[in-house]
Amino acid sequence: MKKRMRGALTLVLAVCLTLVLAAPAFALDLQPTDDFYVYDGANVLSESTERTIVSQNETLYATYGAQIVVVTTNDTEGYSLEDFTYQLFNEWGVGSAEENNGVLLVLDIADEDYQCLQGSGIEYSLPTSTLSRILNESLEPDFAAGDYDAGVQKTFAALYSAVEDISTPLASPPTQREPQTQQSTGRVVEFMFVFIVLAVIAILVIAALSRPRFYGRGPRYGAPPPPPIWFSSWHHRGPRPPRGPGPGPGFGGPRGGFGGPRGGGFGGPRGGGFGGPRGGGGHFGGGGGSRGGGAGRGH
Amino acid sequence: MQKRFTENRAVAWIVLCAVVLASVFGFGAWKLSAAASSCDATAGVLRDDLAMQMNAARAIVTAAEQAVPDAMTLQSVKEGLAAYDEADTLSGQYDAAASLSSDVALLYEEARAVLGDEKGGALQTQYSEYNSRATIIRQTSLPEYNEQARAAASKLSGFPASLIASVAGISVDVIE
Repeated sequence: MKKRMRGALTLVLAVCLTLVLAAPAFALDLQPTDDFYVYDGANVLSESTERTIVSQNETLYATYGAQIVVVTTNDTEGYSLEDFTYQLFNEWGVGSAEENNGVLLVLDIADEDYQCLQGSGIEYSLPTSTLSRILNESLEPDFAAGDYDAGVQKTFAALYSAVEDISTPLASPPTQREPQTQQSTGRVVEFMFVFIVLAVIAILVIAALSRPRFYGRGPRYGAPPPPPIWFSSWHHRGPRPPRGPGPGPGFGGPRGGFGGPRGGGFGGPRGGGFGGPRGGGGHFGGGGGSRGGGAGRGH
Repeated sequence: MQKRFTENRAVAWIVLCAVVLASVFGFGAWKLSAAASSCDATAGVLRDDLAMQMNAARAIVTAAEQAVPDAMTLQSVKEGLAAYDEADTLSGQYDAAASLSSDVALLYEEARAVLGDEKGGALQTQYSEYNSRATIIRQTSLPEYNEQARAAASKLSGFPASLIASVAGISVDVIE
């Protein structure tokens, strides 16, 4: 009996530990706004700057399929700014999926830091050394002075010019991609999954605790062997109901699990995930990806 | 009466065995070669990233030659770059590049101290490029290459694959 209890508790602890460890694999909390091109979480940008970023991006995306996204935040969700920017880039899918020609600028106001990252398709034409120069010339002076709005304006203009210089106009405007990760639906499914897992754990614990004692105190010989712990609470209530259909597809394959490194599932870095098209317009990421690196403040 | 060559059964058996062996070896070698070349693309990406990183290191050396021509680290970085150039395998190139990182950082600091804090200057932007490329190699191109290299290496490891691979000179480098 004690061994079984210990086994059940070990199982419960293992599942809980797995859940805790798996939590960071879920997507970042930060989700794009309907404007997509600008997210002013730290509330340091003026409306005119935001409008400029959105309107210029519309032109940029229609002409070249490229996107320049600006994010300000006070919270990098426990990640280093470099990792946060890298994950955000790939989860939002900045730039076109074919060209991987997006640029993401993240300002971490709370930590007085910034990071700029380019898509993998323009690593060579817009190298990090160029990004670093643009940041140092256009952003650093205003950023150091606390005038983030002016810094973003100048930096966006410089990045726009740089991206325009290296891009060739598209033959036809890109089709608007459906959003990668639908915030509401994705989160609901995520919570539902966690709830189901917790419910299963609770059932296991209750089953283990309420198991009839006669198995442990019965005659040494001739007693039926103890059933598996997961049947112990209902095995005497009649025959087991018929089995359902075989195993279904489950949550994601090798490339579509929970936040795997190359996407699918709950907001993995290369798109996919739950959720249908978002209603009511707005802008979306083009599905572009980055390999990381990029330029930041002082490096 | 002496038999004609085409009527000699022993020779026929030998020829048949040779043809069968050659076919098995040839087909096996072809399959193993295909397995080994499955990581060519990721190896190419990794090689390009290393080349970009070393180009940035060379630019830092050029700037440092003006600022700190007598620095010990300058000589170390030059030797490291020479070792990278001489390496004839991908893992050799990676090892040479990896061994440079602390010297390049030190050299950058020494040169920057002499040149002043020129943010946005050639030295700083190239160091930014150097670090960025190191990050890309560490978190993307090296793991992607190793994933494929390990898969290919496992195909080459069993018998008789290992024998055929060693005879045919097929090998895959997993970079640890």
